[in-house]
Amino acid sequence: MSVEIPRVVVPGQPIVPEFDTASHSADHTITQARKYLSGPGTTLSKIPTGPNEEVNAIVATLKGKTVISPKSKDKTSSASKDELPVNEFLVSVVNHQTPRVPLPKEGDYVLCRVMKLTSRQAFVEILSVDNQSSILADSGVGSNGSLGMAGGTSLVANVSSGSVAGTSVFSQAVGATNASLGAHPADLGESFRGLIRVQDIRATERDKTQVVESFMPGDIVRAEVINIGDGASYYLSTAKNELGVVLSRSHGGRGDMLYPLDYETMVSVSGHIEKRKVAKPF
Amino acid sequence: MSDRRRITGPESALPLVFAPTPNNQSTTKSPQEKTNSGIRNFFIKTGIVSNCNGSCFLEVDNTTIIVSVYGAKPIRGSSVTSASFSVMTKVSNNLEELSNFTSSDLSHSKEEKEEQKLAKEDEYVTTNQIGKTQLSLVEQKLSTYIQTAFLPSILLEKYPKSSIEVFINILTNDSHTNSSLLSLITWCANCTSLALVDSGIELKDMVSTGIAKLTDDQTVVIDPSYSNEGRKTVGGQEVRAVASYMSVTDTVVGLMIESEEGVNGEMIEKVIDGCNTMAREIRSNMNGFLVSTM
Repeated sequence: MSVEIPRVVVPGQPIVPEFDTASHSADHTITQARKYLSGPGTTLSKIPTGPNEEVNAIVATLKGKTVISPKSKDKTSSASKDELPVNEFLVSVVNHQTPRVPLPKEGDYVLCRVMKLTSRQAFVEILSVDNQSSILADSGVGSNGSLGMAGGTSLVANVSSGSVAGTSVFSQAVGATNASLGAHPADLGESFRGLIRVQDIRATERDKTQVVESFMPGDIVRAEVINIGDGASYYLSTAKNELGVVLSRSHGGRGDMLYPLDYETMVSVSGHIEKRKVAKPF
Repeated sequence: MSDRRRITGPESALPLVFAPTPNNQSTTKSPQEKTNSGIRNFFIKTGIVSNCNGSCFLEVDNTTIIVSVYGAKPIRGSSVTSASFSVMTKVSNNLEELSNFTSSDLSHSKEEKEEQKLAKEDEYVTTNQIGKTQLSLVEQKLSTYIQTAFLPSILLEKYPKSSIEVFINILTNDSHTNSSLLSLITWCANCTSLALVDSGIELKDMVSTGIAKLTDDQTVVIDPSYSNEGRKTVGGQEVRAVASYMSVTDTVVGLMIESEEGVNGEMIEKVIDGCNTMAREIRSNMNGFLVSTM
């Protein structure tokens, strides 16, 4: 028996049971089993169907439209002939009216700005989760406000593509933030903080790594969340090729933009060379 | 809960006071006629406050409420694995009747009355000073109820290191009919539910709230409005109750019962059934409203 799936849902509304079967339209023999997985905007919970009877179901947690997408299975199924093939589907609820505030979770790549350095760790402020909208797009005034870091999303897009043009967009975005509000999310105490310990900066030669030779205050760094951390900050790591400084200005020189030269060094237009833990640009 | 984003003014600063609207009386509507088994018509609109994540405006008779939801936003040095949830209520300063009503009527034990007297004096002092600094008794009761009722419905574990803040603003209240605190709680809770949905915070289920009254002659009145029969304070065995539900899993998440005299199990059962009926009707109204806004 196939279940009819509601197109539009409100929070708390059951969408589909966890397991379902599809039958042949002609002779009603069961042809496949379906398993539904809980995606964004849904949760798996027990729904009472009668006295002392309950069933696991995917339940909406947001108001929006349901989207069901087949999940690709990478392993070739070793099921024998007698067993039914199990197809997996991801159920999610999307609502474009209310953008989600993305929260960094373990394994996510985040973009962050270096705030402070010590000999043992670098303190950073998390600006956005990579390839998603920025956290606090409005610098903490009110998450739906039209003021503020309007370039946040484009910043992510441009940095991800690694193009040189991205840098100019970035400087505009930063300029807009400062001009419109005169305040910084970190000043307001309204941003997530992270820290990169010295042993998490590089994958190789961890003992030789020094914080000051890897980051400078103001650098924009792409990092991976390795742990949700303590009450104060997320624990981040840049120990991968594609992680590290993506945008930086020269400290010893004239404040020019720096461009990656190799994994350890960046160079400004004027030829000034500085040490960084550079992210692989392409 | 101080607002870090604002710079506090000098100590001698005075709040801005506007002259009362001249023809205030003409805007007050006469209360709707209602039967014992029906609920009053109410007006809802979501997304009216632009700088918060979600908001809802609710109007029923002469009561108007705005609820705004902020979050999930980062906070430091608190709960790591799940969000913190807080509720704050503000009753407009000019609603004198509401504070008078609750102070004299809300509770019965001597100690509590003493306490209220003190609270009232405090309130008097604070309202005469710079704005209002602390919550009045009504505001506290309301905040506590809403927080308790909504805590189980929010998926707090999806928002680590964050806080979700709900602000309830009671703009006007039925002053001449002295509608009860319980009625106010009911409509605030329903308004909060819609504001939370509007904010896009993930919820296990929507909370809907109903109110009912069991009169002397054992009839259940759903959504009692005091305008119809005038207010009975010496109503013998009258029992009033507010109950909040998560309908899908059929769970009671909030309950408040009020009576002049003792209550027994049978009475509670009857009055809660009444609440449930109203909560279900409210829930279907909310569902319809939400679907129509998509």
